[in-house]
This record gives sequence, structure tokens and C-alpha cells, in this order.
Amino acid sequence: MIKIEGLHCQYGDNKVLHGISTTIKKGEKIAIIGPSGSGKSTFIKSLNYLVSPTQGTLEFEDLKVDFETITPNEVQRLRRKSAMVFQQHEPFLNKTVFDNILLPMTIVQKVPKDKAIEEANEILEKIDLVEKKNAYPLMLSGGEQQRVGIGRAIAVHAPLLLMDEPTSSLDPELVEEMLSLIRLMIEEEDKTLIIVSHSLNLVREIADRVIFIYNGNILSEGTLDYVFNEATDPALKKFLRSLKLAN
Amino acid sequence: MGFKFNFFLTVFPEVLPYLKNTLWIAIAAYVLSFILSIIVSVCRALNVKGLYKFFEVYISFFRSTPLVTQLFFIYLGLPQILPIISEVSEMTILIVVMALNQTAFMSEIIRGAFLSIPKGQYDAAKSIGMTTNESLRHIIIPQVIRIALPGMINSVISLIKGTSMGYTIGVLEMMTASRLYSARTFRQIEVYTALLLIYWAIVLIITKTQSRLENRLNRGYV
Repeated sequence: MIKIEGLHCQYGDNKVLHGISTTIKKGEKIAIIGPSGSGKSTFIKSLNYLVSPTQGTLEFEDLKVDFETITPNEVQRLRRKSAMVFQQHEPFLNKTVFDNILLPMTIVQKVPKDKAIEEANEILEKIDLVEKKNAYPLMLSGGEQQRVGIGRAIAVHAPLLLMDEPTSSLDPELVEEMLSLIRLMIEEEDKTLIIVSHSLNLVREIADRVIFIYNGNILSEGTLDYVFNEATDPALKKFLRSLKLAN
Repeated sequence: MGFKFNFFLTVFPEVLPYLKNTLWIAIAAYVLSFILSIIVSVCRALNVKGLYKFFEVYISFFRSTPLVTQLFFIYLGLPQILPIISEVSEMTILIVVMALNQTAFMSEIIRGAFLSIPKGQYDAAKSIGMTTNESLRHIIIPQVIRIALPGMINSVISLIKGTSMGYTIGVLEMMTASRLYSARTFRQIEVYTALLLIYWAIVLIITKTQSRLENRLNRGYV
């Protein structure tokens, strides 16, 4: 279970999150929706400390951190409990496809090299990049780069998977392919998933629960049915109307 | 007078023994300036209080004034107020002045290379649980080296040519040896032609190495 309480975050004087609190059960698939600039990405990047929250606490398995007093050791422990897939893919540009997948195992988890190579080959098969294992990321298409990002996230073996708009920079025909890869990732090991997305289809296909963030606050959260059909918050309704138009 | 080819050939055995001094001065100055450049660029990148402004003035001063003037200031000027400097060997002074001068350029090359690495590369390394040291070693520094390489090689070339400044304070390197040989024989054209060719050959070797290194580091960058 992940318990987040009173999460505040700001960039300089710009306050982005205003005390977000929520609880996420193990294995739950959460979709974060909300308008641009509402704090969705900041929220999930707070969970692995890629941005530094100014206040708040987070409980995750055996780890409890207070963001006001978090230590470097706690940051490392927190980061090793999650894997992230980025909007802009962010494969390591100086590494081959194979090394991108190998690195989390050999460098971070200290898995013996033979075992790591074997597993990296299995992941390459899952993400269908066996033939491009020796290619460098900039030689790949956007969809292939995102598959490398997903392969790297699989290799992290973390119980929590964070995805920041993983399909927004992809061509529409690649979204379906990405969807099956995401399903593969979350179903195999029953991972907890928190995904930020503007794609209604993706949210409907994957999420158990939806959180609507507006101006740095959670305005509404609940099942898909509740958020999409029953919630009455005017900001949510306006956002859903614009999302339906865009989709 | 004319160009005497046979005499020209005698210049090489006279000058080449001092190549090792030239290379030693250049390599020592390079290593020192590389270490100083890392310190300066990290302090500037991290905006270390007090040091940021100090290094800004240092870079501006050493980039804006001639190397030979800096050398004379430290070798001839400073001993008048700090007599202990007169006990330091000419070669050491040359190495230190060249390193101080080159650091002003090299630190900016390294800082620029660090700044050009996309933030996403740092975030991706952190997100898989790498420590700062691991991400620097495996992800960031290899990319910084690729970007900084042309500028860093230019620094090596500048330093090798800069060693000829040793002549002005009596350091025995190739330029000084050539000057002494030409003064003894009154054959300037052959001596300096040979010296120029030696410098050119050294730089050609470095440039060739640079191309190979660039090809290797640019693998994967289309």
C-alpha cells in the first residue's frame, strides 16, 4: 500500500501541489487525469523524488519518508521501489538497446552478469526489439524508443510503475501496441501502476481508479464509472468534455 | 644563401631530443588544467557561493590577456613582491601559467558540455535507482566527453604550441633548442622549417587520433 499525506511541491515561488493526500492499494491501477499545468506530472515525479516535495509524507511498504527531512539514503530506497516510463522516452543515448535494459540489473541491482544478460534477452523478446539489440536509441523510431523505455522499466523489477503520458508523443497507430506492452508489464507481476494520461481509451482500458487533479489539488477520485459518469464537480465535467472532444 | 637540404636534415637530431620536454610541459599543463577545469566548472554549475564570482573574474582575466604577458607577470613581476617565486624552476612556472591560462578555456568547454546534456538523461538515471556517482560514470560523463572532445583536443594543440613560450624564459624545449642552433649556425630558414614541420607532424597525429575517437564516441548519434 502507498499512503500519501499532505504533499506540497513548488518550483521557486510557483506552488504546484497544495497538500495532496491519497491511498493506493497494492496492485491497483490508478490513472491521473487533469488539465495541463494542474500538477499531474509533478505528483508522480514526487513519488520517486525526481522533483522535491516541500512537505508531506509517504508510506510505501517498509519505508516511511517525511519530505521535509528526507535523507539521501531514503531517496535511494524510494527510487528503487519504482520504475518510470517517461513521456519523451528518455533512453540512455550513449547505450545500445541491450545495454539500456541490462544497466538497471547490473549496475543498480547487482544481478550477476550471466543472469542479467539472460533476462535482458527475455525482455528484448517481450518488447520485440531482438533484432535491434545493438542499435543506439537515436537510430530508432519514437515507438521503438518508447519500447526501450518500457523494457528498461521492466528490468528495474520495482513493485510500483510510474508512467508519465507514455503515449502522448507517439503516432496514434502505435498507441494500441503500447497498450498491450503496458498490460504485459502490469499483469505479469501484478504491479501497482500510476499513469498520467490524456487518452480516454488508455485510461478506460487500464485503470481501476481515476484521480482528477486540478490546480494542484485532488478534486475527485473514484472508480471509472464514478469519475466519468457520476461525479458532479464542474471543473471535472468541463475537463471531461474537452477530453472527449480531443479524443 | 638558398635552402640547404643537407643542413635541413641535421636540424632534426639537434631539435628532436627536446621533444620530450615539449611533450612533458604540454602533458603536465594539460593534466593540471583538466583537474582545475573540473573544479571550476563544478563550482560554477553548482553556483557555489563566493567561488562562482571569483571563477568568473578568473576566467575573464585569463581569457582576455596574452599568455606571454601572464608568463612575464608571474616569472618576472611577482618575485618582486613574493621572492619565494624566484626559487621555483622556469619549467614549473611555465607549466603552471599555461595550465592557469588553459583552465579558463577548458572549464567553459566542460561546463557547456554538462549543460548540453538533456535533463531527461539525469532523470532517467535517477529513476532506475542509480546513485549520483553511477549516473555520472555510466550515463552523463560519457556523453559530456563526446560533446567536449573537439574543444579538449584543441586545448592539447594550444598547449603544445604554447610550450614554445618557454623560449622567452629560458626553458629548454624544442623552440629554445632551435633558437640556439640557428644562432650557432646562422641558418634560420632550415632550422625553423624543420621546427614547423615537427610541430605540424605532432598536431597531425593528434588530429588523426581525434577523428578516430570522435568516430568511436559518435557511434549511435545519427
